[in-house]
Amino acid sequence: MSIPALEIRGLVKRYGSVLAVDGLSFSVPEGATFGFIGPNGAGKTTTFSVIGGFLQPDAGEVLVRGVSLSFGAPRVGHLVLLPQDADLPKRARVRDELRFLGELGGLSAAEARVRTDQAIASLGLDKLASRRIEALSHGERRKVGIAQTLLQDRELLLLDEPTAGLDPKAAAELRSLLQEISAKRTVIISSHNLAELEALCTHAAMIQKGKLVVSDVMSALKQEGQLATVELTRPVSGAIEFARDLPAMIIGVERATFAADGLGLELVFRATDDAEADRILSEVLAKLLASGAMVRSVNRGKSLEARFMEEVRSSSSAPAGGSAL
Amino acid sequence: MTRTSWLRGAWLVARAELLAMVLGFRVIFLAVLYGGTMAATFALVLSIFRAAKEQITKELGATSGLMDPKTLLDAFIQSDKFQTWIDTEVMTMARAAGGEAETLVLAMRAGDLPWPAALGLLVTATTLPPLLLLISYDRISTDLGTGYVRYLFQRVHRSAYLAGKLAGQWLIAVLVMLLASFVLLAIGFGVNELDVAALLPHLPAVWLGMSLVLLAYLSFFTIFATAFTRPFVVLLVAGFAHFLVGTFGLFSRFGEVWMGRFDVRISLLQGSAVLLVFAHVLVFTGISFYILRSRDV
Repeated sequence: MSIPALEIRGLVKRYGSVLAVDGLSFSVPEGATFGFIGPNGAGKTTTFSVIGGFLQPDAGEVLVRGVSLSFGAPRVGHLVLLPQDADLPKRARVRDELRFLGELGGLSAAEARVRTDQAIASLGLDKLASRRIEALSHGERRKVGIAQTLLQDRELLLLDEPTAGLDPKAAAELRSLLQEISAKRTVIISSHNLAELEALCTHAAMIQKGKLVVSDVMSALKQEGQLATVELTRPVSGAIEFARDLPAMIIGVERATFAADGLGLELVFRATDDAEADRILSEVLAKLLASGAMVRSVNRGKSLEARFMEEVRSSSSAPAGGSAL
Repeated sequence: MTRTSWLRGAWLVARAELLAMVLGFRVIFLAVLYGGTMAATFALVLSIFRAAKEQITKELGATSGLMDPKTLLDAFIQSDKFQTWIDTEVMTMARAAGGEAETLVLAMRAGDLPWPAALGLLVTATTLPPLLLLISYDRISTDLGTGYVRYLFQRVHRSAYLAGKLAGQWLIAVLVMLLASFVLLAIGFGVNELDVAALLPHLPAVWLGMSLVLLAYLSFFTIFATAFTRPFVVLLVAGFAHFLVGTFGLFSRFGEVWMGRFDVRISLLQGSAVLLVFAHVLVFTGISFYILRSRDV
């Protein structure tokens, strides 16, 4: 069994009488792009802050590639983090500050210069490099914060709300950059933008009230091996019978339901892997076409947002157990 | 995997602190206020000396014929009348003022401490610590309050950060003290008011002693800078603590211990006093580090 890139064991953090993180445990596999999801006040930033060594946990352990990290010890060499609500010095100039942080992270002056220029170019900050931090907009400051995470390239990368405050263009550019980065590094992203996480992440964990609700690979979270919706532009003739007979006609299909207008088909099926899911859906499509339907689109699974809302609702009414990876 | 050694981390933080203070207005503020106070005090004392000299020359001149004013003044200082006045009246006043003043007069009387060095030392000891508080009170608390330390503490140990900040501020203090001293020496030499050649050999010990005391004061203020994240609160509480401790020291034996006793500045680096100042630095820095390492940021 391979060592996880990050492992959280039984993390507990209280603020006075408020229990912010309550026995949280999960692990992030090496090479994953991991989404960390939860409503406001769920404990995401607190968890990130404990991982970053900024907050002292009341209990629990943080391990990066099997190495336990103690509170307050520098994380350099293990991970680098974009903290939320942390400002860089107003009077500092962008390039100087990044070089300083690079050197502080263990780079030589020459390396820091090169890496700073690379990070500035990656984030399109060239025109702002000589400006003072105080002269930048919120989004531009966020980009500088992200740039400091690119100075060291082997560490685990944790980003707390990386696209918060960015305009749509800048957010899209950042997502594309994150896609590039995640091909080479393990990345953990905390965000409220579930569509963004759905597009970027291979794995995700959902937390609520400081407890793990669920943690799994993205396809399993979205139930891609269990659910599919087919959008039609022309309905099948005999829709009720078609839906009733489908489970008997195709192995793996458990239930089929048409929308009232007959232009949407919801499928519940059981597939052990992606190939089997593809086989089932191909056979369903063939049957639909043979029955006179015209297909506009096929979507496997449910959106991350739908799953998130479902989990939040169910965990609000029952004690959370959670399934770890 | 890259790591930063503790020493390199502290050095990088110190360098950044030094640069931020030099490139900002703080050094100028410190140099102008400290240098200005020093220059004004010297000008005042010199004018008093000049007036006294003129009076003495006038009074002695009637009976001494062709003697020049300097010789007349030296003769007066060596006279039994003046020495008796020092040993009785001045010493009585010094004893009444406290042990530090007595030590100061004795040091001057013995020739260990020329008056310009003693005056510079007094001005430095009284004005520089509060001025240092004014220029440094927000340097750590702002980093804590804005969350900037979250960028730093990922990369450098908290103790290295603290040492770097302290070292940067201390170097600024020492540099300003030396700069002001050299400027005043040059002016004194230029206007032919100071015997710079006689004064110079006494100054390194004074500078060294004062440097230690300034480090102790900075480490004292750092306790408050690490405890509070609002700069204004740091200024208020540290300023009040400085005033309170100073006032308390004036009326109690505590004043003979606080900041290594006055001896360290006037007895030219007396061993026990130096150790006592180092103990202050260690204790204050230890408290600051304890606060910083235990706090959530």
